[in-house]
Formats: sequence, structure tokens, C-alpha cells
Amino acid sequence: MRIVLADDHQLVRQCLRMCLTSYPTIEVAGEASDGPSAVAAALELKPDVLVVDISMPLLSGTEVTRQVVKALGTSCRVLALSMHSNREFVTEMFRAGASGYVVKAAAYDELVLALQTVMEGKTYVSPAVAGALVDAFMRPGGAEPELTPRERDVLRLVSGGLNTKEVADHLGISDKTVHALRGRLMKKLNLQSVADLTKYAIRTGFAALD
Amino acid sequence: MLAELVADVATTLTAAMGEQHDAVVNEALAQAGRFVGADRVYVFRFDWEHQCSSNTHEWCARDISPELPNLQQVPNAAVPWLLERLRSGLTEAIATKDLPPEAAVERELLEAQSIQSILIIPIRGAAGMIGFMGFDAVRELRAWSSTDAQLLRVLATTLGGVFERHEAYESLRVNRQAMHAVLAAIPDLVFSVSRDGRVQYSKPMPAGDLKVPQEEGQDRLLSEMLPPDVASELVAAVRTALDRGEVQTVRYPLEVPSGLQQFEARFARQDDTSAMVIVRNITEQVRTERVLEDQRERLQVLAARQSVEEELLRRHVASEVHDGIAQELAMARLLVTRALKEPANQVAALRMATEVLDGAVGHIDELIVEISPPALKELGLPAALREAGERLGSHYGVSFELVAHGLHGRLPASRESLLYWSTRELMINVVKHAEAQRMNVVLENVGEGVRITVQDDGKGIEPLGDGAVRGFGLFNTRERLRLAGGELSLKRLERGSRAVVQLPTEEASP
Repeated sequence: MRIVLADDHQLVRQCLRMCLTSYPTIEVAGEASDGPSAVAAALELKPDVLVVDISMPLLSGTEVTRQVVKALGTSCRVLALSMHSNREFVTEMFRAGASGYVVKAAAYDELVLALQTVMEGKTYVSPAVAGALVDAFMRPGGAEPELTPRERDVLRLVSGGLNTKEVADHLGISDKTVHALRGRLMKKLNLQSVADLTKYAIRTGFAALD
Repeated sequence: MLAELVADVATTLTAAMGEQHDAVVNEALAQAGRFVGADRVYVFRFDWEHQCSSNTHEWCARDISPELPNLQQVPNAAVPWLLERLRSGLTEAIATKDLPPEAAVERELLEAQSIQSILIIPIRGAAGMIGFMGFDAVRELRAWSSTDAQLLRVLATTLGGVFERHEAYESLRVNRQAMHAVLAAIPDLVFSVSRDGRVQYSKPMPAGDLKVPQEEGQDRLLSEMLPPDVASELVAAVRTALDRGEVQTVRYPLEVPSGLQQFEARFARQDDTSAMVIVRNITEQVRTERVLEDQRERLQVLAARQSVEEELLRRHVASEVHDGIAQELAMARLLVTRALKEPANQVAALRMATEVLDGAVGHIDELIVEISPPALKELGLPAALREAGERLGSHYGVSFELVAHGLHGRLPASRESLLYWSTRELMINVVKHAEAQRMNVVLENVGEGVRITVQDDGKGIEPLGDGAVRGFGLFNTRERLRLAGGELSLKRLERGSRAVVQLPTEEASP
């Protein structure tokens, strides 16, 4: 079984190589340290399995999976290897076309088992994330509320530490409108204060942070 | 002749009001006295509360001595026969010498005044007898005719009405004076206005800031005195106040000689057609409200920024743990489980696991320094800043040097902490954004406080605008220093930038 290791941490790649090279049937054909080079390595080396991290610079593991699966189909299986065990990460990876999902904290046995499983065309899910996957299956939906572009602007600026007047000046609207928009945002997101809005904005990536 | 006199006197009396009252009453007594040829004509008023009567008005013929000053607060008990006679309704004249034995006191009193005969008659008001009036004959004994008695009765009836009316008027006048005193005591402008906005009554005001109806504003329309938009808003409030009977409040700005002022007018329904208005200058109040609102929002923003900082730190710690330390531990576990399972390259795997664990330990140390540097607590500000600067410098490839002079002993922990984090923020700014080769930090003791200068040779910092979204860390640093009584100044140099932090050593008293 030829594999390619894609992870932005050199340490992780070294450790994986160290663990897997001496395994009789596994050959580490190549490594990649970011998204685009992971896609390139997969297309060039055509491994049986691409072991890919989700959080990678330039192109996320999810996107890498999507592109590789689209280009190579079932000839190259993708095994996600991640620190994350959140529902969203797991479901996104499977939606993108991954065949398996293993957490990095897994033991050596499990990693080998996962590689063999996806190699055989089956699906492998780490017991550590299986619960999250079942959760996702049982509770579809639950998405974040939709915000209008104006609400997004206000959220971004308010959480950036601007006061009402500054936000109004910035957007070329009246103080009153800003006030109303802020009130609507808090209601929509079920938040109580500007501080809550700010925290929400940071969590969801709206805040313009230095 | 008699009828003429009565009509004349009655007309004069009923027309008398206010200050003329006493003079007119006295004149009526004089006319009646001359007409009947009495020596003295007078009015007594009862004070039922104190059970006495007083001589209030008197006319005396030539050479007859006035008795009014002597006859004040005469106890009713002293003249029982007189009271009885008044109550009996008998109105015939009586000679002093003919007084019955039970009138011994009265006889003595009359004889002392040399009165030979009298005619007395009660004065009645709505609530009963309020006084009496009488004719005295001093020079000779007189038997007053029934015509005289009739004149006296008519006069007494007229006087009864006059006295009551006068007293009602007096009490009204006193109330009115009290009301004016109240109005004068309130600093606000008070006036009454009709439905169409016509000013009907206005409390006199010194010409000043209240550009609202003055004396000359009486009977003028609000729209003639105020800008159109203000006037129409006020008139609308008058109508609402009249229609709903609820007090209406309108706030409006007005340009007056001393500048733009804020006013508040309250409209209360007075009757069907007019409303009472109180106008108050609320410029100071509005200013205070705005300052408070400003401060409130400023605090909110600060709180928001604070929470951003906390969230950022939490994220930073989480990502350091998640991407770094946890990953290293996961890999170490993988290597160890591999070594346990596979005999091949066992030692190499374990050696690698050890290296990975060493790395994790190092990273934990670094993280602890970032969260709460032990050096700050144990060794003090210069040592902690040196450690932080060296770490940052070596991590980002910027050469770092720190000089401290004049700093002996320790500062209060909160001061050291504030200075540490402020300076660290400035150093992070340099290594991350300044593209500098060198970074120099100088700590100095300057009189009452500490000054820390962070200078670099990079591309030069952008000036810090108040409304900018960027530079979150620097903004927070500056705000926090300000709150603690210190300051942060940033200057772009010919080459690089210089940031100066100053902070008094002692906590500012609140």
C-alpha cells in the first residue's frame, strides 16, 4: 500500500513516517506540507491512500479531499487524520469524499487498521468521533441564523470596538439605524450585550482582529 | 331725600374695593350722620372666635371726641344686655337714663362717654350677625325717628354685603399674592396659552435666556415669537394636552443670545380652551445626559474590547495547546504504542517519542510565560521583560537589547503587571509588523513613575487614529494605561518607531 502524508507539521509527518515505514505492506511514497502540494503529490504519485490533516495552510484538508476524489475517484482513498473531533469537521470530511476519519490521539494499531480498512474500499470511523457522527445524523440542521449583509457589517464593526456613532459614520447610516440593527442582531443571535456580540463575532470569524 | 341718600350711599359703598374700602365706609357713615343729625356714627365688628367686638369705623360731628381707639376688643361678656338687645331685633332708640337695671354695665359705659341716647342695629352677613352700627347723641337727648332707624337698617344691610364682599376680595388678593410669590420663586417661565397658540398670561421674567413670551409677549401668538418648527410643535402639544387632558412634554433647542440652549416645555390642561405652560432651560441637564450616555457607551466599548482580548488569549491558548502540545502528545503516544507493538526499530521510536515529549514540555513552559510569566512574580519587571524580549526576538529573528537604570526594588504587583503586558504588546507589535532588525527597550525611573521606551529600526508605525478598527492590542494598551493614570505615545522616527509608556508608581486615587 502506497501512501502520501499531508500535514503542515513536520513533526507529525516525521512521527507518522517513523511509525509506518517499517510496516511490511506500507510504503510512504511522499509528503506534503500544505493543501496545494498535497493535491499535487496525490495527482503525481497516485497513492492508494492519502493521509490528510484538516487544518492546513492555503487549502484546507476538506478542499484537498474534494479535489483529489474528483480527480482520482476510488483509485485513491482519503483518510482524514485530525486533532479535531467536532461534528462539523467529521461530517464535512465525509461530505468531501473521505473514506475514513482517525483522530491523531489514536494508537498505532488503530492507525494501521484505518489504513487497511479504507484500502479495502470500506469506511473507517475512529470510535472517538463516531459519537459525533451519530449526533449529526440524529440532529440535522441547527445551522447558525442567517444575517443580512448590513447586520454582518454592524456585527463586524461593533465587535471591532467602534461605538454607535463611529459605526454609523463608517456605514453612512444614522445612529438610530445602527441602534436598531444592533438590537435585531442581539435578538436574532439571542445575545444580551455588546460584549456577547463581540465574543460571538470572534467565534464565528466576523471580527476584524489584528 | 332719604331714598336719594340711601341710593347714593349704597352705590358708593358697593363700588368700593380694595384700598378705598375704609374711606368709602367712613364717608357713608358721615353722610348718614349729617343727615340724621347724629353726634357719632360707628361700626362694630364681632370677632366670634375671641368673643369680643371692636370699633372699626367711626364718624364724629364737630367737637365730638372719637371713641374708636378706646373701644377695641371689648369682651362680649362685658356687654350682655347690648348683645341681647341686638339679637332681639329691637331697633328703637334708647336714652341712657332709661336703660333697665340689667344694663348697669352698659349704662356706666355710655355715661363715661357722655352719651345721652343711642340707636343700634345689627349688621348681618350670610352666616349671621357680623357686627352692629349705631348713632350716638352726646350733646342732647335724642329720640331717633323710625325714618332714622329705617335709614340705619338699610345702611346696615348694605354694609353687611360690602364687608363680606371686601373680605372675599381680600382673601382672593392674599391667595393671588401667594401664587405670584410661588411663581416668582420658580426659575421657570410660566404662562397660559390658548388652543391656537396665543399667550394669555405670562409670568413677568427678566429678559434673559428664555426666548419665550415676556411681558410684551402677552396676547401674541407663539408662532410670532419662535421659529416655525418649534412653534408648531408647541401648538400641537397644546392641542394634545387640551384634547387628552394629559400633561405633554416637548424638548426643543433654541438659539438665544448666549448660544444654543435646550428647553423643555410642559403643557397642562387648565380649562377647555387654554393650557398652563412651564418652560425650563435644560441645557445643563441635556449636556449631563449626553456625557453620561457617552461614558456609558465608552465603557461598553471598553468592556467589549476587554472581552475580545480575553477571547483572543483563550483562543491563543487553545490553539497553542491544540496545534502544538496536544499534537506532540498525540504523536508521542503513537510512537510509544508503535514501540510496544512492533519490535523493529523499537529504540528509535522511543527515542523519538522522548524528543517529542521534550518539545511538548518546552512548549508548555512557553505558554505559561505567555499567560503568567513566573519571572515577573519572582524576579521583577526588568528580568521578565528581558525574558519576553529575548523569546520574541529569537522567535522572529530580531536582535533585542534591554537596559534598565534607576529601578531599584519592586513596584506594586498591579503596576508591574500593567507595565509588563503593555511593553510586551509593544514588542509583539515590533517583531510582527515593523520588519525591524533591532529592538531596544529602556526602563527608567523618572521621578514619580516609570518610563519604558521601545524603539525599533523598522518601517515606522502608522499613527494611531481614534476610530480605527485595526491595532486592537495597542488601543487596549493605551486605554488601560490611561485608566491607571499613565499614557502611551507612539512616534514614527526617520528610521523605525519609538513607543513610550509612562506610568506613575503609585495607584491613582479614584
